[in-house]
Amino acid sequence: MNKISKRSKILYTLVIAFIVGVCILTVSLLTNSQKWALNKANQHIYSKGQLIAAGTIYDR
Amino acid sequence: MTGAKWLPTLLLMTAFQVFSAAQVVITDTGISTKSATIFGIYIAIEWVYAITASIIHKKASHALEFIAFFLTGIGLVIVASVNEDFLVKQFIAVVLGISCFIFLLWLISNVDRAMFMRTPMAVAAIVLLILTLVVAKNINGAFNWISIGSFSFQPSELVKVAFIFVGAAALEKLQSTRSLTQYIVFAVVCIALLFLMRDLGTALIFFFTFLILAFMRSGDIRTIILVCVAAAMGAGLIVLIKSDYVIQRFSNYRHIWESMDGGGYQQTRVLIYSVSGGLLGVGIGNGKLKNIFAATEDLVFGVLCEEWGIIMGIIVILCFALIAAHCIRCAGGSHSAFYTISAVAAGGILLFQASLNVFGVTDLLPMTGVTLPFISRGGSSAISCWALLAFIKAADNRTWLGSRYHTEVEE
Repeated sequence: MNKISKRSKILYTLVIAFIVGVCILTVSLLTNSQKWALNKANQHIYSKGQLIAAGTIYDR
Repeated sequence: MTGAKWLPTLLLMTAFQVFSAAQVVITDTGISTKSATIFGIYIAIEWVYAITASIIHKKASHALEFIAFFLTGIGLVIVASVNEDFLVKQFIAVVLGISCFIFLLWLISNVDRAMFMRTPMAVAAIVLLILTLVVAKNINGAFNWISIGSFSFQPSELVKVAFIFVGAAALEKLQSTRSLTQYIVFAVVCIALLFLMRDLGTALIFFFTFLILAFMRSGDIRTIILVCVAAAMGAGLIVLIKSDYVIQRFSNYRHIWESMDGGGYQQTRVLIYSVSGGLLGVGIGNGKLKNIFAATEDLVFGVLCEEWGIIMGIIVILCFALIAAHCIRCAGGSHSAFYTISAVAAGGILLFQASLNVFGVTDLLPMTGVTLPFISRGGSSAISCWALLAFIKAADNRTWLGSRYHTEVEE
């Protein structure tokens, strides 16, 4: 039984691998955010290829 | 989270759920009575469960169930924000899932009863998979759905539970080579049937579970490497035979931006809208990703990041790491091979499935089309996730029975 309990620690390897994946994902989202958000497929700011929303300019 | 310590946690979770649900219940056209009633009942279920569990098991931890209730609550709000009509079906599935969780907890609370159920479960699982292969229609390239009238379900999700149940019961008696051989035959038949159904994601999950069970049984990492090599060779053979199907599934991996309106359509939209939400999100129901096919199923992580924010998305996926860490803690204290093996396998499945989903839609892994546990829309998935949780909770209960807290209560 003790052996089996010790073997359950294998899940730590999986948890660590998962957390490494989450870190890579976070870095990827942060570093590429500008490029991805400005993609023409983003319907928050583009409609039929035309820019429809790009923030408000306050210091004009 | 022992004693009455669960109370502040549940109060905070309830407040979070009330605020989240309010954003889909209160709309421009007025208050949705249907959604309000469903969320009210859901929160009531959480409270009834917590109070009843704390009466039965005084000072026991409810952390595991609270994580599941937290994730399920987020899933229900996302489903309601995309289409209110889906909410009733999903809620019924969640209630069935919680009922399955309680029933399975009772069933496996006695190891002899679990052993007795081993063979009927194995037979039922194989019959169900064969039936699926015979009667299922091709939906999105896979033959894994059975439809009866307007009701449809995915049997492979339910077979996951049987796979762990039979595996843990077969390997409980370590000296029995016969039971091990029987289990290997059962596992190979299940995985082969899933390949024939073209349900690649679930076949991968089953294979991964088999590896965990094999390691728990043998403790030999060389055996696992050998099994992996054999599986890789088998997979290579399948690619050669059915190249069109398998290669197509993997051809877009790491090349999604080159086929933005083709094979990489869903993943590129997930990435574009995930970052559009920023750290705090555009608000529940204000996203654009919900208009893409499978938004509430495979792509739900993208909807979460876009509408609730990247911070919330990361918190949610870290919950799966917490569940797995909880498994290790209770697996060590359950003092029973059956509970230890089943808890580790169930925790491993939930973590692996979450990895396949989240890293698949964000192109860190090939997309396999599996759901995000507890959150994605899908009745069979909700039932199966809650049933898997029962294996972890059973080990948790056994740990609690042997703990000093339990002894204090008894005294």
